[in-house]
Amino acid sequence: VTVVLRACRPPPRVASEDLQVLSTDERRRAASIRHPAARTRFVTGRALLRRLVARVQGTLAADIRLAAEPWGRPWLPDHPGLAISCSGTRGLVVAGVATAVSGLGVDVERTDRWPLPPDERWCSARELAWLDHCPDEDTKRVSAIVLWTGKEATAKARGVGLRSPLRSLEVDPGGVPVRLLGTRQARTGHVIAVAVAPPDVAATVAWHAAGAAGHKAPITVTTLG
Amino acid sequence: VNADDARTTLFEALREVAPEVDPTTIDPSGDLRDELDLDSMDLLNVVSRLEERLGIAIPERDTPGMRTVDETVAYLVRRTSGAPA
Repeated sequence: VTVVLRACRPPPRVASEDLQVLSTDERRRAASIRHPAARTRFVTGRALLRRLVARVQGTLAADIRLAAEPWGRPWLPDHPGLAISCSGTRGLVVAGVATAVSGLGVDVERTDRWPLPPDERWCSARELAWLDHCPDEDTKRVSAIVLWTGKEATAKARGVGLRSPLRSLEVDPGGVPVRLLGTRQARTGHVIAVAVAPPDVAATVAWHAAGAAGHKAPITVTTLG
Repeated sequence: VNADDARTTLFEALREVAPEVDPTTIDPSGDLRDELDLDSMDLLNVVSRLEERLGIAIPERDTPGMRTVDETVAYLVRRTSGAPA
């Protein structure tokens, strides 16, 4: 598994070298995105993903054929053995590629945001208990963001998106450690989760908290099926 | 609720989650993520606020059908008229 990160340029600047590697359809999609930050993030993320796949496959980024499943997960029609995923948030995009897995999910979130209030809508009873044991409100807030990020990555790896109940994508913060799946140090203030779905396991997730209060990177966990 | 009330309620929720934008200026058929730079946590936050305001439960399986203002308004009108989730 290889995961790469890249800071986004402040909108509305979109790098011309990024636009050049996008397909006609992707450029059309970018032009249809009205919010400058969302447009910049889409272009930066797709270009990053293309360059990563190109490096792995030894091809040109602009020559890669990218398709999307109905709910948006990108895949490679010409390289069915390669799993890909990308994610973006304010200031940062993340792209990943993996072989020998049935699915890959990466997700990134800022830690300076207010998360969705943790409740049974998206947390399991065990996760809520874990959050309740956080020593202070700021740790709890960041921990909730970490949980969310792990769930999103897991949902992507399993190919279910957020259509499946988030409660069932339980992330166990005290679970059996797994090896951290290749990440680099992110900009301060982001949490990155990387999940892979081996053929015989629902998903395994690892995450990397960069500069997050209350979390020393790396933190590794496993998810339950 | 009727479509106007549903739209007003949706805009109130969007303003709370993304106070820096004016939802009345967006394309009602455009993807909310692209129009307002919302991510999935923002969208679930919007859904949560809609549930509180309208007194309905919106299951997660329904949220992919609420990508735009038009889709969300139609969904809210349907659900508050007594249609099942």
